[in-house]
Amino acid sequence: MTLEEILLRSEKPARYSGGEYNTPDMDKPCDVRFCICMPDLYEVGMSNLGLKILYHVLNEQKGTVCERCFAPALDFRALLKENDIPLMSLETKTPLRDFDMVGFSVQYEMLFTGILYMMESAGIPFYAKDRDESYPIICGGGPVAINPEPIADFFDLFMVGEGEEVIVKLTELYKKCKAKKMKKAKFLALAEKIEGVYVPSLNTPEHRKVVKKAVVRDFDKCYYPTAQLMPTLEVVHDRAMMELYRGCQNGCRFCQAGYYYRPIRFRSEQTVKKAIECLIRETGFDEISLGSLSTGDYPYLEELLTDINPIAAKAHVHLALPSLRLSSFKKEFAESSRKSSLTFAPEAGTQRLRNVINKNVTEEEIRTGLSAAFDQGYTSVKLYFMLGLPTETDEDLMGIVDLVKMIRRLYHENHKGGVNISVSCSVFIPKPGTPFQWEAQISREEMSRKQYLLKDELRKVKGASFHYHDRETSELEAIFARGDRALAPLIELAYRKGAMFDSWTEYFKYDIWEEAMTELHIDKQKYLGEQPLDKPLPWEFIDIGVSRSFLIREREKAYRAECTPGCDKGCQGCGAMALALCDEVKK
Amino acid sequence: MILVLKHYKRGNMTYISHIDLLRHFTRAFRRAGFEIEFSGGFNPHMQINLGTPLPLGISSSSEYLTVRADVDKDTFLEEYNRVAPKGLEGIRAFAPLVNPNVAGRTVAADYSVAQKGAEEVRREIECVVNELTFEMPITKKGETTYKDVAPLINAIKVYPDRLNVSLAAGNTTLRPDKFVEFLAERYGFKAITTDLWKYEQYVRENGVLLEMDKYLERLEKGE
Repeated sequence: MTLEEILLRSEKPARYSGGEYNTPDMDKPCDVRFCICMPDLYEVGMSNLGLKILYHVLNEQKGTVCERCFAPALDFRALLKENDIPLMSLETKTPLRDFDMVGFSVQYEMLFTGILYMMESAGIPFYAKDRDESYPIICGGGPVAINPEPIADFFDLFMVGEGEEVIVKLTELYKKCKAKKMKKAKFLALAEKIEGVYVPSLNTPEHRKVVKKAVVRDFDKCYYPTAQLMPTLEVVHDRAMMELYRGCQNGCRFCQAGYYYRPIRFRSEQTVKKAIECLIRETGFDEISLGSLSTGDYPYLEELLTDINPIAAKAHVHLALPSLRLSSFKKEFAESSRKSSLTFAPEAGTQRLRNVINKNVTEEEIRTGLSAAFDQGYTSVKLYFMLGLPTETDEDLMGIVDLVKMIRRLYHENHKGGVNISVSCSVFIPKPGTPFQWEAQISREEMSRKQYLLKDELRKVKGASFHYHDRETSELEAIFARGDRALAPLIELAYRKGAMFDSWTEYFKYDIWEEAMTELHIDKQKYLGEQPLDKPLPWEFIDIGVSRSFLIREREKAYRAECTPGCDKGCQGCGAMALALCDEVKK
Repeated sequence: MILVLKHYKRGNMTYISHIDLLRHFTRAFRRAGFEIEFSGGFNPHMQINLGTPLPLGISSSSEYLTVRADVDKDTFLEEYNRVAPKGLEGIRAFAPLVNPNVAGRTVAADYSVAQKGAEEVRREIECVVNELTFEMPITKKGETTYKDVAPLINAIKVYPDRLNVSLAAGNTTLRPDKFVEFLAERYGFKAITTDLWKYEQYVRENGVLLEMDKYLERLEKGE
């Protein structure tokens, strides 16, 4: 069968055909060909902002061409295999193994098997030690690079931290090494000297160097793509994205992103405005999302909205404001967005537990914020919580129910008709880089008990609905989040037994994982239980800029249910200032 | 002003669905800066009328869409082509004085498919058009039924390396890919459906078929 015939036989050929508007010149003379891989389907991968930034920044470089490859759906993979065609890039249909460098962007732990799935489809051996000079340099990056150990053996190198500058340095280095016909080992030794690069083969768990994460120092002036790729089919986040700032002032103690992306760096209002005008002109999307970790905290939000609302309205472009905090929710923001559903994340049901996790939102703020929203015409509220937080008791769970009841009463004080309150509970996963990185995860039995307790109680509240996360997925995510190098064989074995697309509930098979753990004598409790303070954690060689002593101090404050004020109230001394000047301090 | 854009659907763009095609145009028109008419109501959307859907994988040099916008037809074509994705380039623009209702008025289309070996059975294939009944299996949702498609076949012509067919399209459609595959199986030749083009479509005026371009030219003159 020809590739055209295979495409026509697949479920959604547009996933693999390429040719999107704003695809850069693929035929320019180049010294290095890079392929960015996303171990998930096109629709998910194309929604990722990081991919767009790295893809466009590489293609901007003279002599560098960057292509993309997403995980093939099972039907397409079967067709490729049947016809003996290796996995290839979207743009020029080049087999992955013919690239100079292949980079996997790994968004979270459940995508680990997807990496192996893509490598196998491409005919690339899984382990770095089994790949000779003929194979491309396999790089890893994305949020999981904060603890790359479980997948370290599969990779030649990792980019830790923010990728847009380090990826350019790496490809430039590669060009030089290629011109001098240097061996892979020599290149890796030189690459390791670049800030933010970790080479697993040059480090053992016993002897390793500290790897400092890469940070963009001048964020306002740093590259941002406005001629973004236009997906050929509907993707999960089918809109243009404008990143307002990096980092977060709030310091929620469970939040990995909040610690990983420190220090806070804002884009100026003028830069954002100019970029949004370009986005409208160059993409044509009908929606632009003003993204960040907490958009309501962007200091120039009000002036920005005043400036760009008329421009957006004229072009019939909707401005979306995700990640609003209740305390930052203002009437003006609600007015400028479409009144569908409001989403807020109190994360915990009682003030005590919110203090433990440092989610600085009070019931009074919830009340004020929501009452403003109801007055604006919102009739649907989505609330996110976490179960199994450190020090949590049943009283805290009942606090969730009380909060839902309060919201319902609040709505009926001044409004007629029904209000929909949707409660979503995920399971707390202790993540590296946070003050809770030493905490235990609750058992699956305990998760189940808590979920049913809430389900039974919320059933009694009219207009409320309850959704909760899968227990097995949460457990596996926790194992990998704090995993070490011993887990690579587990990922391999589970993959060989049929585990893949673990982030898709319809494909996730936990029994395979349990079977593989038993076979390899892996004690999952080692990863799920509380970690001792006196021993270094497997990922502590990664320096994210926040000091260990600060994390311990935060953990102790959590036990005392003591809050730490946001960075906007004064520097708390986390240590990230050493990486780049924190804009909160500049203010 | 009513504007009709005649455009290609070829290359990588043959793999995108009708709904994704619509999304492409709303984005391209916004990039071009056209002020296209929007629908009213709670959730306004750009009003674009696409022609009859083309099955995935079939190329075309004869696709039409209709919009209302404040721009002359030459600028419309030129500016659209400045921001058009490769494979969806505009070919020609029309400014009919009344709504042409392209999707509703289309009754037939011409297609051309690459073939191997059809010349040896040319007479048999071309004679299909004279059959009073011609039954063909149609599979829908996994269920196969036999349907008389004779009234849906207008012309069949075999050329060296190619086979051209003119089939019903519009409210009643005979899928060209399925039809030529069936002919190939029945008469023992190979139809290469990855090279299948639609190159003309028709309306019916006073009982005869009239090319879409000519129909639109008449509407431009107010005939």
